[in-house]
Amino acid sequence: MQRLIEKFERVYIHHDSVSSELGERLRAIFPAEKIEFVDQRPFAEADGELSAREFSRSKRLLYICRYPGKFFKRCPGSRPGLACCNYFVLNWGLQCDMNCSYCYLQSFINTPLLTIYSNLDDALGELRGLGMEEHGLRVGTGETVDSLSLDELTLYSHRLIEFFRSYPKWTLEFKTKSSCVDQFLNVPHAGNVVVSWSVNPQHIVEREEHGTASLYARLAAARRCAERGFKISFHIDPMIWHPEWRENYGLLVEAIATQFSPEEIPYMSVGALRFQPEQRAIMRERFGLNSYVTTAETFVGSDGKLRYDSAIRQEMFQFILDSFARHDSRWRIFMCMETPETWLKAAGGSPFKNERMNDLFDPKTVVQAAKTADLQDQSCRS
Amino acid sequence: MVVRPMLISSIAHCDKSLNFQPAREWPKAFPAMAWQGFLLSGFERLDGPVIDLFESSRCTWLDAVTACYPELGLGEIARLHRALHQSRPEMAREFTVTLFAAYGMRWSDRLSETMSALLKTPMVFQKWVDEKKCGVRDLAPLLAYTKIEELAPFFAALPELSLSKSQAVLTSEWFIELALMGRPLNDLLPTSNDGEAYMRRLKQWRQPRSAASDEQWRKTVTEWPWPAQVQGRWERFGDQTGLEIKIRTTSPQDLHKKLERLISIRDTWSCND
Repeated sequence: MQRLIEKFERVYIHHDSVSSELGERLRAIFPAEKIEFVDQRPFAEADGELSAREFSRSKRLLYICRYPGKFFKRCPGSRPGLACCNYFVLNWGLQCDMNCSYCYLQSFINTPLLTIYSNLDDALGELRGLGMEEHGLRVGTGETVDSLSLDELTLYSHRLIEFFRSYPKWTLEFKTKSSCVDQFLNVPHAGNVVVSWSVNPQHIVEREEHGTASLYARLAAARRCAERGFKISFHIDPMIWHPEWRENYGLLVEAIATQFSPEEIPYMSVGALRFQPEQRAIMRERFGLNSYVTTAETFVGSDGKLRYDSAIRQEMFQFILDSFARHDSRWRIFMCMETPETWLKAAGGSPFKNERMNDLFDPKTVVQAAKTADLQDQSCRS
Repeated sequence: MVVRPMLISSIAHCDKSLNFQPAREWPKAFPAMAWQGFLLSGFERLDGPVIDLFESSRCTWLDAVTACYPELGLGEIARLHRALHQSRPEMAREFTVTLFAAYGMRWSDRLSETMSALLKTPMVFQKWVDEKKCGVRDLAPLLAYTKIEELAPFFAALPELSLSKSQAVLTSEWFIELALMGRPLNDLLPTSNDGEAYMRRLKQWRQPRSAASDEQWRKTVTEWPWPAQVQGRWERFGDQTGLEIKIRTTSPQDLHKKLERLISIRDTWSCND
């Protein structure tokens, strides 16, 4: 907790959130001199494409307010042309306190603050309104904010885990690069909470994932979760090419496969480095060219993002799949944000036709949830 | 109705500190324009009449500028803003946001950094930026290099290269990235005006693995037993590479024969893959 108190230079609390649970909690945690109550979002005049300096500073300025829009959205992987894994996202904040060189938020965020929304109840109300209790919905919270790195401040994990106890067929997925799990380990759950980690070899963690927990701390946190009956998952994403990638990713697979069993991990994903072309500029400015990410040899893919050459991606994915298979053929691994062509070449077939994957990739659930969400959206607009 | 006579004075009496070296010479048929004694146009003239737009119409400085220059390039606006800042800092504070807004830009930290970087490049490059109507994003690579003035020889040479605007933008990106990766500037500078050859050289350095692999495939493919009137080339299609095959055929029988012979190409490819 002390780490977080020191990390933030300033905490802005909008008047609409002062008496919210989160507002009151932060007022109790942070020294009064760091807190400022505001009527409108600070630095609104700086909205737009942020400079490197503004983006870096935004990680140290916390802003608490209500979110007036829709919390619940489909994962960007659901775009045409990509094989999507039936994933929905609930965004309760915007910006991350960690500092990965490849972070897509660098091309996404246009407000110079780390924002946390105080009205989580409204988000849960949206989920309740979907009325899809009988469907296998997967909901993640780690798209625009790390699910757990700020959880000691918000304790949103408690509220979400408790909420999902009433929806045993749904799955809640926390996705994090932190090791902050101890604050929710005692919360009773319905066995439908997956705590997942984005993982990379320690060499990449040190070089590209600044301010995150070490690989070993992440694996140790995963072990603590598994011991409390939480499902756990790992996302080897983004895989980053570097001269010793085989050796280092081999060590990563070894660490996971020897410390965990396929029964403890319902699924894992792999993905390779990808980013929007316009992100190159801010990455260069913030991390220079002493980074495997900014020096990567990338090309524009069919979705307009920059990616490694498809042959390299296939080679990397194949390496991970084979390495896990050598340990145990029961590991379930899917490729995140990849084209059907890559699936065919690296995994030998479409995920929709793969018996061990098709519960994740069942398009019927996705379509129904999307329709419901869209209908809600339309009724909100009308 | 009150009719004000046009107030005409002489250029010699005007303050020329706002001379931002506009790309186009002020039309000879017009008198020079000024605002509160600050010359706004006709900077190249040594003498002659000048109309003070403030005196004649009480317009603001910005109104006067936009009336004289309905369009300005990034280089021009950067120089104008700098000149205003140097000669009348209080006016620069007042007009910065609206000046850039008048030319379709939103003043921000990023835009400010871009303008500063652009002003550190040689004038020939700034004029090229205006001529090619470059946007702020086209200049993004400049922000990565802290001492951009060190790269002046490159920016002076870039307009001389036979490159399209998008090629030149990519070239400047590769150049700056390679400089940041530690490649000596002497190696990196162009040695002729052949832009395409220069881009190939930079690409080989910036993307050495894929460039080498693509080149290897290109050579290999040319050695395959292509049927007559069939051309096969190894090409990059975004994040994929593969064969592009061009067939010239004169009859269905001829096409059939060529397709049959292409089977041997497929087999050769399979062996090489």
